[in-house]
Amino acid sequence: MKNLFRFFYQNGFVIGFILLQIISIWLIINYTYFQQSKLYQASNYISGNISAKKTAITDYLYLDDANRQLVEENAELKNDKVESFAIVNKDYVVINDTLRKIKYRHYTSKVINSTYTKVENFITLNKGTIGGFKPNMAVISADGLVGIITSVSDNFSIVLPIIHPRSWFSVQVKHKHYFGILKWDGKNFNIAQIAEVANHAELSVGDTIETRESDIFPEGIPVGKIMSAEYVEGSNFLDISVDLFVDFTNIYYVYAIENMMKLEQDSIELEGYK
Amino acid sequence: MISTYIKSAIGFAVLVLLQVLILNEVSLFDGWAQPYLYIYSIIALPMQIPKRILLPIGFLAGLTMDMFTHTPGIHASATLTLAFARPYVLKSIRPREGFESFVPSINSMGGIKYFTYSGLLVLIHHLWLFGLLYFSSGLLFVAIGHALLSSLFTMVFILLIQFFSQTNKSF
Repeated sequence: MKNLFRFFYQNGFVIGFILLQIISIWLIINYTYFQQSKLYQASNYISGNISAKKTAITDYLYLDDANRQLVEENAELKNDKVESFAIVNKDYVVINDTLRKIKYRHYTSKVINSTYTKVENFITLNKGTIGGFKPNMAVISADGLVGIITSVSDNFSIVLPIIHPRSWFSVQVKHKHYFGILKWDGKNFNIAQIAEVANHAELSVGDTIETRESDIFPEGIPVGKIMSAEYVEGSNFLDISVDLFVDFTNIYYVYAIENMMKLEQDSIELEGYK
Repeated sequence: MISTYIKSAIGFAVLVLLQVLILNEVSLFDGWAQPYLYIYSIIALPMQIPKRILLPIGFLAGLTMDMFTHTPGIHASATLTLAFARPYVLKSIRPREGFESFVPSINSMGGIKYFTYSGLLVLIHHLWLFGLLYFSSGLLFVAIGHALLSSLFTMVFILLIQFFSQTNKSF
């Protein structure tokens, strides 16, 4: 027993190292679990506030780009207005539409912190539960798909962007409806990969990739353009690279999308897959 | 001795803020080289600091970084490894009569010794850090490339601090 104590006393440094290292590895492995914890939300509160102060200062440097993005998007929206359409046929009468119900609601938000040079990138938004944000809301910018909200505090949300090894999105090829899974290999923040598109799919370079409708995403949010699609020897799936529409180096205003029917879809799916 | 600890603590707070507010935005070569200067706070700790408090300091310093980069555990693990390696690196380059000064610096150790000391620690930290970051994707050579280039970048900042603080010995 005495020898045992002496062993621990003499090797305390090494044992301490191993113990703390185990804690670190535990934190790394339980990443997703950790994101839901109160401790993580408390730390988000502090880091979010510091980021918000920083953005208050650096915002002025990017006003030019932000304005351009907003103006471009305004133009798009104006194009969709009733006034933008000429009347070609007076036989139709517009009636109040009760056949439709709002399914997706858009919330605006500002990016107050983001990284793109790292492997595990993230984006912080300036709204949280108080602004109606919840985990698992889709995040898009004027250019296209950005990511998905993983955790929220009162005033901030953390977004898991496309450019994170843990993220994956269900996507399809526009007009062709081949489905695949969008992932990121960690090399280049402009390029993502698509897995699980079968060999027989007829794709061409330049085809647009968009989101597939799920409980989180509406259909048809642009993602990127196919850069290359190659056959891999001995595999049933194509090796596809996608040039992303969103420029992660240059992202200021985003929209979070809430699916108002998510709960309904989730519960029926849970029942159906039992 | 106590005042040295207070100085170290203030130095750490300044370095973390510098890292989070400015250096995290800085990168060279399309993101291949990023400086991680916050580890300077561990490298610059007094030499006589007891080994048993070195580990918690390293762990907590890394955890603080993790809070800002949303990578729970990764910086903690890398900085812990740095703190663990520090006494061994110091031992291996110590002259027979021992160092005179309390704080590792170019003044107290000499240019070559200090470069070896800090260079080795930075390299250990960065290799461990990028190894963990790229572990799941299995890109070993990308991780090593990032680690080497980032080490050079971090060393530039560390040597800059050294050159600027050389005249002011009290830091």
